Amino acid sequence: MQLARIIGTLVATRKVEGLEGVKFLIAQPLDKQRRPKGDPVIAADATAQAGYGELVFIIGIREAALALPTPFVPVDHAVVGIVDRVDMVERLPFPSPPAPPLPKLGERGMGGEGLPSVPGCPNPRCPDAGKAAQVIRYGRTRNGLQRYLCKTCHKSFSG
Amino acid sequence: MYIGRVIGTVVATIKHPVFEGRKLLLVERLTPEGQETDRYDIAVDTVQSGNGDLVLVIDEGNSARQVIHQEEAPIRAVIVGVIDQVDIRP
Repeated sequence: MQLARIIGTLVATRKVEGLEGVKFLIAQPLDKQRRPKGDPVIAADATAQAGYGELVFIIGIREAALALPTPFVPVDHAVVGIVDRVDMVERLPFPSPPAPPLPKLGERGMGGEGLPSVPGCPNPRCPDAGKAAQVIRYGRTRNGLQRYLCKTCHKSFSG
Repeated sequence: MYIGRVIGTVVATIKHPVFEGRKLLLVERLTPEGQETDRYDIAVDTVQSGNGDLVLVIDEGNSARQVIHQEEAPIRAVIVGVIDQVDIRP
């Protein structure tokens, strides 16, 4: 189906059998930016309500014949809906960017960023000095301050 | 079938009864390499696709009627899949 604008109507008293009572509209097909594209067509109005100036959508060929109340009338275009509005979206690249890689099991951050982080090891002689990956929580002081332990050098500290 | 990108939604209160309850999406037709073309369709969505999705579109009446299980529906373009990946070898 394509968007179109109704630019007129057409009356034909003498016409082929099967077209009695069919309302004819002159529809200008539009491109996706709603600018006129191509030649206007004569379309049967399957909505029975489309009028001059309206933005509509039309269908062609065989499906047009199916759109009217009595199917298989000889038409090749039909107006099948009146557009209230078209909501456009902002463009995305092709192909859509892949989902970010899942964190590996065991990495910090897996399962929720709500986990507070532990500080790095403060022992300057530790092979993992400054790093936090090998630090675990190690209870609390009497005052409620968190204690930590570096599993590499076994230094315990508060923070 | 062709590759399309959903670029919008068409809202229409007055329409043929076959479209009641169906999502009408504005889909621009792309080449298999992902280039835009001038062509587009208002297609009926059958796979809950949404804005920005890359979709697989059938633009043929008999298939469309088969997909929505209605024999005399004036529908020709239907979205039949959401594309995960396209792989083209020269």
